[in-house]
Formats: sequence, C-alpha cells, structure tokens
Amino acid sequence: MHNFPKRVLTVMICCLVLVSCASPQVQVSKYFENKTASPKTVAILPFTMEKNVNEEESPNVIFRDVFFNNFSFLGYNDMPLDEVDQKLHHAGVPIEDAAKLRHHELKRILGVDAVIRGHLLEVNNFTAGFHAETLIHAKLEMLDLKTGNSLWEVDHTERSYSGIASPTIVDIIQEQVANAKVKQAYYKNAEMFCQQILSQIPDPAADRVGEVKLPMISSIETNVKADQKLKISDSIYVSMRGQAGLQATFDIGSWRTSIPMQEISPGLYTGTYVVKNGDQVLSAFIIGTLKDPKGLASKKYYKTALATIGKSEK
Amino acid sequence: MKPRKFNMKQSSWAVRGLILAILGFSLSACTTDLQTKVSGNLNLLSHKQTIAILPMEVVDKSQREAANMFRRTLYANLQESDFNLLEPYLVDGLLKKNGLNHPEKYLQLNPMHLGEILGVDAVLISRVNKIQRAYLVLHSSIELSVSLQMVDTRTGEILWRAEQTETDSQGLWKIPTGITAAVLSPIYFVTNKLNLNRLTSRMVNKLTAAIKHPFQKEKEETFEQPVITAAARRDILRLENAEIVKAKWAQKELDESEGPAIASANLFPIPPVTISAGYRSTRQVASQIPEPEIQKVSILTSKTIASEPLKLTQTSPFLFTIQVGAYKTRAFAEKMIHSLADKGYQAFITLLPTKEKSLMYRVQVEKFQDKNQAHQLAQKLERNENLKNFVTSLNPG
Repeated sequence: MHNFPKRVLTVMICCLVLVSCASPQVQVSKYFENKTASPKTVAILPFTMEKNVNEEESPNVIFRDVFFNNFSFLGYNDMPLDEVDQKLHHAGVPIEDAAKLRHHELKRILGVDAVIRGHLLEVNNFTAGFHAETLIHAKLEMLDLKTGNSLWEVDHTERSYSGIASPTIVDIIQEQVANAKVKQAYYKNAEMFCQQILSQIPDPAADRVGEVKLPMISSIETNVKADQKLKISDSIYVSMRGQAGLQATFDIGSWRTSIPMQEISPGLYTGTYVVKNGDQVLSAFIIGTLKDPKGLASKKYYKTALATIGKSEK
Repeated sequence: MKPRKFNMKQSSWAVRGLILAILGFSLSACTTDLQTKVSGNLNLLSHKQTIAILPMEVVDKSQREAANMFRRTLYANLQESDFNLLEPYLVDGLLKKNGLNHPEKYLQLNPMHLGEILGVDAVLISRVNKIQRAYLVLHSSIELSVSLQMVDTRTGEILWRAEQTETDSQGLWKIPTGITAAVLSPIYFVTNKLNLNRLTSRMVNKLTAAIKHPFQKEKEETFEQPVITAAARRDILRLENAEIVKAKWAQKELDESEGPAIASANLFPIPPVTISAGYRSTRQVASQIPEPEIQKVSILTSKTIASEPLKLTQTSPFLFTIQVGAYKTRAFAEKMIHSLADKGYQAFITLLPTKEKSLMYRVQVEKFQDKNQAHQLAQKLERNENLKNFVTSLNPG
C-alpha cells in the first residue's frame, strides 16, 4: 500500500511533463555559416495547410501574421505581407501555389534574397467537458533564392492543453473559457510557437550594424526668425540640403507634419507653409525629413529659431 | 435502493465549498496593477509615423533576457497598431554608432537628439523595474513590473506613460486537483520559462490597448495638459533665451544705426552695384550670375513702379535702408523680395561675406538719404507686414 503515493506522484509528474510542450529545434543549414552570403531581404510566403485540415478561422493566415510580427524583430529587411501578396497576385500566382514555385521564379517575382515557407500539418481547437486544447503543428523553412538551398527549417507542435491532467480546477476553468474563443486561442498559440523558435533562428542584426545608414542631410534653413510671431498669410520657407533624389518633407513641431518639399536642384529641397486663419502654435521646431525609397528617414532640426504662429502667448 | 437524502448539513458544506471555489477563482486570477496616461496629442502620431522602441533599461544584469523578450513582444504587438516601427536592428545599430549603448541614459537625453539620430517621430523608452519569482512550498508566483514612456521627438512631449505590475501565481487558491498537484504545480509553475513568456504577452496586450485606441481613453487616463520631458524643456528654454538675446541684439543694432554710419559702412566692403530689373526678370538675373561673381553684385528687385535705379553721387555719401532679413540661402532671400515686391516695396539683396567664407544674403527695402524717412518705412513694415527690421546704412562704394 505504501507504494501508492509514489505511483501517484510518478503519474502526476508524467502528466505535468506531457502537458508542457517539447522545445522546438531549428535546424540551421551549413549554407548559413557563410555570413557574407546570408540573406538580407526576406519575404514570408502565404502559409499553407494540409488538405484534410478543416478550420473556418484560417489558422494559417493568423499564424503567418503572428510570425511576421515576431520575425521582423530580427535583422532582415522584411517585405510587408500585403506587398508579397500583391506581387504574387500580379504575377498570376494563386496564393496556395506560391510555395510550390521554384526559387528562381520566386526571385523574379518578389526580388528578395530569401523566402520563408510555412505549412500547417495539423491544427486543432477543441473544447468539451474538462478538455480544452489548441494545437498548431507546422513546418517552417527559409529558402535561399540565389541557390535554392534551405537555410533553416523547423518542425514543431505547439499545444496548449487543459483537462484531467491539469493541476488545478481554476486552470481548467480558465483554459476552457480562453479556448472557446477560437481565433484568440490560435493567435496565442501561434505567439508561443514564434516566441520559442525566434531565439533559434539565425539573426544577422549584429553583422549589419556597419551598414546601417540613414539619408544624409547637411543643412536646413528657414526664414523663421528669433522672437517673431507669424500671422495669417505669412509664409514659412524651408530649404534643406542633402542627398539628391529622395523624398523630402518638413514638420512644424508635431502640429503640421509631412509638408511636401520639392527638389529644385540636385540635393536642394525647398518647401513653403502659408499661415492660415486659426493656425496657432507656440515655439515649434522646424524639422526637415529626407526619406529614401526603402522608407528610411533622417531628420534635421532648425535650431536657430522656433516658430510661433497666432495669438499664443509665451 | 432508497434514494440518498441530502441533509441540511451537507448542503451547507456544499454551498461553502462553492463560495470558496468562486473566491479562490477570483483571487487566483492573474493580478494587474496598471497605471497609464496618454496625451491628447498621441492622436497626431497615429497616422503612420515612425516610432523606435529603444533597448530596455534593467536594474540588474539578470533581467537582460527578460527585458529583450519584453521588447520583442512589445514590438510584435505594436506591429498591429497604426504606428510604423523602425526595425530594432536599425535602432540598435544607429544607437551604437552614436555611442548610446546605455539604456539608463536615454531618459536624460533630449528626445530631439534621439529624433535626429534615429530619424523617428517618437521614441519608446522603457525599464524593467522588477522580475521576481517566489516559491513558498504550496504557493509560487511570478511578478513582472515595467515602466514605459513614449516621447514625441519633435516636441519633447510625453505621449504615453505607463507603469504596470503583472503577477501570476499557482497554489492552493487555484484548488489543486490532488495533493501531488498541490505540491508539484507551484514548483513547475515557477521554473517553467514559458510562464514568464505568457505573463509578458498578457502584460503587453493590456499595456498597448491604451495607445492602440487613444480616442477611447477615459478622462482620468489622459494628461490634463501637455507634459514635456525635463531634457527637452531645458533645451527649448535655452533656445528661447537665445532668441530673446538675438532680438535684443537686433534692437541694439537698430539703435546703433542711428550713430556713426561710417563704422557700420566699413562692415560692408562690397559696393552695391545695382542692376535694374523688373520683377519678372529678377529670377533670371539672379540665376544668370555665376556663383563666384555674385559676390561682387547686389541684386535689385522691384515692381516696375519702382524700377529707377538710385543715383549714387558724391553729394550723398550715406544712404539708409531697412534690413528685413538675412539668409544663408539665396532662394529664401529671393522669395522674400518677391513677396515684398508683390506688396509694392522696392526690395533688393546685398551680399555680406561671413567669417566662414560664405555669403549672407541680406534683404533690404528702399534707399533713403533722409534717415527719418527710413524710420517711417521701418515702422510701417513692422506694423503692416509684421516684419522685424532695423535701419542701417548702405555703403555707396
């Protein structure tokens, strides 16, 4: 009889271990060791699901969104998902067939160094009685589009479960309630999946520090003068010198932003704001912004005088 | 078989058990202490403007991993907001390039400085205050406390400030399913790394709700008036003081211009060669003059009604004019004279070489032999055109 507690203890430990998920193992290919050849621009292809998986909430779409949100933390230039879908659409590729394309075709359509393919082998959301379970079993892979080699892959099952093996009644009830919200349950499950694999995916961030460069702005000038209060019909002229051929705007503090500027000669941008009736701002910086085609921006503050418009009193 | 009777004593115990279970359930639920305030101006930022989430400050090094996880979770969560986030590798790279490797110093920096370094509209500065795992045989808990501040780099205004402590626990409160579970589950709870992940994820969801939907905030969760960070306030104040000094200088120069004109004339070694030009041709004239040669000329612009060049004779050695602006960029000076010409003033540009071997384009209006007339026009310009100005002498050469 005295063996009974030991057996119960063993069973309970086994249950607890089983309830927890196994840690995923990201298999990194030898091709990734060559850091100079490692990809910089990455597109995440639409994730696919096994044909026999029948789920209304489109867990593959949820999982892809969550994966993108987490993956973009790493030091790659990620193509926005909308842009990926749009490019595939323009190329006449059905979403579900994108992952089947050969690497050089993907390279031609998307113009990136690598793609990530995701395939959901099994998904499940089930709530009944004491039993509540959400599961995502997926295989992810990064494919080098220059060579067609797989750079890393992972096959992992993320399961959140509560039931007879759960240690407390409250956990069971909480899980039941949470699991009944199917979309959120998949979202949370996908989040845990991504958090676990993210630390194992090779991150080129540290190697790219040297190449981090914003557009160059050498100077900014305005006609705003010290202790001057602008009134209706007055104009604020801004001129900025910097890298040629980029998109330039200026801000008046955070009060008026992204006022367009024109490039009147290579590297010289000018813009104007005419004060309108009702305009009012106190001591605002004039800030020039220069943005490159990738969306990277640099800013330069005009520090000689602040703009004050209207009846504001200091 | 007789049906079993349910006596009063048993039913009383059942009710007590149920109450205890409900109480346990409510008490054991994850607790949150969230204090958050947003600025009304946060809405100005919500239109695809860029934010940088800076590396988190930690109280001790053991918190570094949790801090990185929090930052990563926050980044992933805010990807679903209206904000455009600067990729963390760019943030870290730019900070490193500028020698800003210590997150504990970010709050002391002027946010405008961070804005220039990172090219963003706002920065999110955060700190892990506490990570505590506690184990007391039948009870264990994990506590995570953070504080965050989102600052507008264009104004120095605090757009969002939050402090949150999130606690989750495992123990008798949760009504264990057995004795073994009562003993083991607290151990499992406190040692499982994933529980901190879950807690962080839950915490971030609650935190970011405030900035994802700033319009829905209650009055008590909104700053009554804009709050500017101390570092930004200090630098803006310094700049405002400098502006006052500059204005005083301008006034002083105006006063001194009534004194010895020769001294001031010596400051302008370039003789103003007037080029008669109607308003329409001003741009052409200015653009036809090559940059090096322009140092030797001044450009006169006026409407046709005031196009007659002033005669410079030996009998009028000193002329007076009203200076309304001085620019390093010729385009600004040109725009200003066009604007004045539109209003009927005879405006022109004179050039002043600076110590840095570049040119200052001074915008001046009219020329007078009588200083009083110059003063009258100066007052008119100030009154009607809101143009700060001063009377100065014009070197006849």
